[in-house]
Amino acid sequence: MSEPILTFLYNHSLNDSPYPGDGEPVGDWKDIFLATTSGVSPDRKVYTGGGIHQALPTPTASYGSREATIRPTVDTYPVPQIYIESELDNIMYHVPLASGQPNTNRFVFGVYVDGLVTSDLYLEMWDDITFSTFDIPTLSGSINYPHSVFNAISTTNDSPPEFWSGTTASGVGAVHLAGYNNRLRLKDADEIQNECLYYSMYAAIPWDLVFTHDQPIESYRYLYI
Amino acid sequence: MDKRVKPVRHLDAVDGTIYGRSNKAKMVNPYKSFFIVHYNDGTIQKGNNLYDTGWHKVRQGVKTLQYHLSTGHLITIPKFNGYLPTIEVSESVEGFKLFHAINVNCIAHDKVMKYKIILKEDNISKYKIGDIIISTSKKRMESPQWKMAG
Repeated sequence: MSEPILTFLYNHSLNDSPYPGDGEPVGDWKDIFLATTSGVSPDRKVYTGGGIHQALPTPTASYGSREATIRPTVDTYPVPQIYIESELDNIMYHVPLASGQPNTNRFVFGVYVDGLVTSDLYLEMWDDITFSTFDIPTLSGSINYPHSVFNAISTTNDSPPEFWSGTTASGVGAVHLAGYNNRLRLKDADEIQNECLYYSMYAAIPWDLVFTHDQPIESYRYLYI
Repeated sequence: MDKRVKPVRHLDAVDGTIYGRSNKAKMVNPYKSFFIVHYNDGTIQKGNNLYDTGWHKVRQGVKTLQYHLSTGHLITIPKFNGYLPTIEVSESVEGFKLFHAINVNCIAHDKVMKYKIILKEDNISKYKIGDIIISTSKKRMESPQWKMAG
């Protein structure tokens, strides 16, 4: 047996419809470039917006401007936009269905599994690629918000409920992503073969989070034979 | 384009070093770690590596199952009625793959024993490369790839 091939996908349109392909970019679904062979940097998921313009101008070069996000005076503030920064194409690709979270959009991000995974596929976030700590402020939270700011929910089997968060929707497969114990099951099954799994996510900044510039890693854990 | 994600960048024949913010980890070289199956008729079969394990070529009638790690560890799994190993990995969106463990599921009468062979160590975890964590389960994984003892 051999390793399955995963393709990380995002929906670059307002059409909330499933990925129609088998591991290649198709239509509005683009794949995240991993830079495994060239000297070009891999694509990055960027959480931004919330300043004067709310979103970046279109188009925006990958080395172009970013908007600082407001820290609220009370409660939490969901960072309003997610972009995929592509150095390869030198552009910021918008993920419009991830805007204005929490929302009920279902087909926002996807992972296509080419081959056989003999477990569920788990989405995790860590400080770095040693996969050993989750201490940075965005993963450990603040005094009054003591968990990760990253809310994620599996949408493989259903749309997310209204006003979902990693806390309020935990009964339907949502988490605050941080390390091994706070990870997201993308299918809620013991086997995955030649299919696409989906999820939605956003970052919510609490009022007392320290000012920070974090770059946690997003990863997928699984088993194969 | 080959979309298979490569492992750590600082990989030599023995292991790879992973540098984090405040922690440093090591991982076995997945290209040089493989299973060894001994059959009752005296023949021996060697696996490929941790990417393309070659487990589907293993015949029924396993006498002994061993794992050779690139670090020089040779781990012998005790005798059971059947075996099904799975590889536990993490793949990051930044284009990085880390091998955590080999989970060898073993049939023991009315339960399943799992031998988890650790493939990664760091300055925080108490487990080192080659350590084995044993657990039991009542649930047997459904798979045609179980290989039974002779």
